[in-house]
Amino acid sequence: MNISRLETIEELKEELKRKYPSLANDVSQCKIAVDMTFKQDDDPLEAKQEIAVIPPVSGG
Amino acid sequence: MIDVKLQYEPIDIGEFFNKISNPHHGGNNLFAGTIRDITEDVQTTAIEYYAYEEMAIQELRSLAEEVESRFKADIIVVHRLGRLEVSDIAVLIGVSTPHRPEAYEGSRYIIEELKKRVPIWKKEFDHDKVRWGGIRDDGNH
Repeated sequence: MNISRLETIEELKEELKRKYPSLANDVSQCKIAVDMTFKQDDDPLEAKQEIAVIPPVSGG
Repeated sequence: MIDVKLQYEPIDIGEFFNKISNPHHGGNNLFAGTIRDITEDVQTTAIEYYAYEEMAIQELRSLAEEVESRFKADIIVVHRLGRLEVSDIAVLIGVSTPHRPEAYEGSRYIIEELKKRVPIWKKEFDHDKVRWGGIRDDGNH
């Protein structure tokens, strides 16, 4: 997936939903972590080492 | 003192209590989250825990550091991974402070935040089916 033209976390999530429509509902519930730090939807998407899609957590 | 850990072996409470023992502290709160057999009308037989381990350790450490700097507390947090049976300890949180209010408050903060932001997941084996995340308030039935 080419993410170079995407500017925010929100745009990344939208692109994931477009590319993987069967996962669209799941992506909506996920958070995005960039280099192991959670990001908000309006945070900028900057070129980093790793982008992780984190499903709702359920530890404890 | 902060010690956070993920482990596949059973949690030995005594081992971790010794770590937070501090002669200047009189409030030592140990919280053990265990596997419950019944939730609403669903019977659970086992839970498997998985983690994004490197990030989970980082998040646990960040939580513990918040509590350490607020209360000057000594803290241990240990979470099991792998397959657990009913009554097994899934998570142990120890907070040691000079007086008891801060030990209670710090412990409560860590478990509530852990459930929101530490990348650990459970696969719950129930009598009727397998549930990722278990039965949650958001209607994950």
